[in-house]
Amino acid sequence: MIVCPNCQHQNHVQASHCAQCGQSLSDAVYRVCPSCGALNPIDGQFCQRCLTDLTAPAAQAQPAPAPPDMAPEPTPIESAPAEPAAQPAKPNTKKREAKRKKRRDRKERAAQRDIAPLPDPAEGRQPQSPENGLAELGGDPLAGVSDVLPLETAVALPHRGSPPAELRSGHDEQEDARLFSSLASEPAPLTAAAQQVLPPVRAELPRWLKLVLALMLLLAACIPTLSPGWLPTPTTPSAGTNAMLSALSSLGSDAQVLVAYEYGPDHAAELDPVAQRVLEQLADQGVRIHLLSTEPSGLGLAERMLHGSDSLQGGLDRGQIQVLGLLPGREIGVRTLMRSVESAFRMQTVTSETHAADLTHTPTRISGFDHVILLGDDSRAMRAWIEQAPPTLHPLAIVTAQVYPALVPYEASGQLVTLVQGPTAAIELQASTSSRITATGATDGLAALFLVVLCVAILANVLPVKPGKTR
Amino acid sequence: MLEGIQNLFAAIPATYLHAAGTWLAAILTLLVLSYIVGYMPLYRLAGHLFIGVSAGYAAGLAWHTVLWPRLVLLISGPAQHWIYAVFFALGLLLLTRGIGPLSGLADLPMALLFGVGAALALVGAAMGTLVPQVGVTIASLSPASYGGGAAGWALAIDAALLLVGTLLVFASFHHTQASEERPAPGLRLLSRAGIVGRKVLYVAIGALFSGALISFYTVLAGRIQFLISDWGAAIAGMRF
Repeated sequence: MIVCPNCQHQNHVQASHCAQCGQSLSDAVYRVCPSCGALNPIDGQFCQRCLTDLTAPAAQAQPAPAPPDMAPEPTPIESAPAEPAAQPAKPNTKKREAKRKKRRDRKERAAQRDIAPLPDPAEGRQPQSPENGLAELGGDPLAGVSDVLPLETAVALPHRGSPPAELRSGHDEQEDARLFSSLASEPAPLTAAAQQVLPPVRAELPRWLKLVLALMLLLAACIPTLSPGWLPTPTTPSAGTNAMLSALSSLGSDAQVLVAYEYGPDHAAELDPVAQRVLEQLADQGVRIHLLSTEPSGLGLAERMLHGSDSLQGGLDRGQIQVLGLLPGREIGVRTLMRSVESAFRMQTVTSETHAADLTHTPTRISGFDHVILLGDDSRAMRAWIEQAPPTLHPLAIVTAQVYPALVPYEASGQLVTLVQGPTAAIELQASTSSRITATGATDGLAALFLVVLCVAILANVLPVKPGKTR
Repeated sequence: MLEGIQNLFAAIPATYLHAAGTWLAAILTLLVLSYIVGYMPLYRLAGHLFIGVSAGYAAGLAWHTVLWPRLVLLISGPAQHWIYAVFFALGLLLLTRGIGPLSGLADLPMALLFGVGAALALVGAAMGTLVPQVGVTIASLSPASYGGGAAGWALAIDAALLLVGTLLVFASFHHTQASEERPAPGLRLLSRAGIVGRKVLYVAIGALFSGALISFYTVLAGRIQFLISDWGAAIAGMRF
């Protein structure tokens, strides 16, 4: 029979076209597996599904040859089938002869090695009946075996491994290996969705260029110190800095300002100059300043700043500047402070000696402060102050450049009166007050950094980029 | 003993203490900067020192300013300040986390702590961020509302950009199944708006990154300045 590859219709062996769909059957020559019925190529020796030997007589009786006029050139395998189909008894005889021959060869090899061969279980086997089986079970099961299997000799002999079998592969094994190899190495069909597009591989910078860039960055970091004022410095403060200066300068000597140190030592170099300028200006105006922090490090930085400046130390000695202390908990602490300043810091006035905050001149409510100044390097801490504060409280915020973009919306919504970033506010404050411009936060340093970043960007983009790979 | 240490430090001239502090800070700065060469043991040492000192300072400050005053109050007047006993008991339950059979007791104060904190943060985010920020985006697009003139036009364009940017970013967060059939016109428009919204997000993230770059650069410049100015002055002032 010929199975149509198009509609799977089973046609007559001599059909040239499919009886159902009309497909030409000139190339549709299959060998049907006698075991599972799978269709295999005509030149296949084993079934691709169950690995049955298709050259066996049972299989050779089944192949579906093409019509004689359309069939391809007969191969040795292909030409074999018709012959055994006429004599179905012959293969069994051949098998028996092959088994006997193998058995004889095995005995001869064993005799050559002086090792008694194991008895062939097929030899001497009598047709068993239930009675015979019971009789045998009643006797010695090893009777008659001792003469063919010298157990004592075998035990006395030293252990000797059986010689390796010959590794010469036959035709069948080679066919198996070829079939397995073709199945294993056959590439799986890829659909469009399975294609993987690799990202473009960017060429890595050479070592010398990395070194040059590192030196440029180091040089840019040294410029503010080595040559302050090297580049033109803007003397006009920005709108945010102007607003903060005007808000602070309008305060009288009886004003109360709350300052929250919400930054750590890792950003002290960025915020310390601005914070110190603001505190010194407030101290010069006679404003009463109250310091607190929700972070222990912030409180330490505040005390370090107070002891490092003469004017601030003087204000601390006069009682003009007061360290309220640590406000534990972020949201909880700020919420407690918003409810009552006295309840938030009452404990420390009772027993603490070093942080003995005198709350007699401190407003009991947050609304009693004229301004609340937030110094922060963490957007979460700043948001905690903004979100937990009542809508009537509008703090002034001085933050790091890293946090600044995240807080711009709060300035736009009016929840922050002013929002300035430390690096630029330092130089603007120093320029506006005509004081000595320190190197930290100098704009010429920022300009140098801009040049470095520009150079790195240009170098990184002009380098060749390998196109993306598709596999 | 504490007074003895204080007297010992008081006996040391302030200039010596300042010089010792400068040298210590300079050495630690150099240890941290050794990370330029690679992840070295010197950098690890500085990191461990920083973490240890920070944790010790925080623990000391918390004990001195928070725990000790309340403990004194509780001891001096238990009947009046009995509420602090509850707080201390909750605090002690936290310490059972390290004890295997009793570790479950620490769940109570942890639940209380995180529950109150989360509630405050949630309410604060809704009332302090979400509502005001949504209110800000509802702005007039008419220049006349801002007084007219160039400034009015600028503010109106700014408000329009804010509105368009917000909508585009919202559009970039849509998730639809790709279909082989012809998509609906609205869906196609939403997809294209989402592409532009992602560009707006790139700009926002770039602004955040540039701010971080400026921030870290300023810190680096401050350290370099310290090494050159303060430490250099300390070295120059040494008498060999």
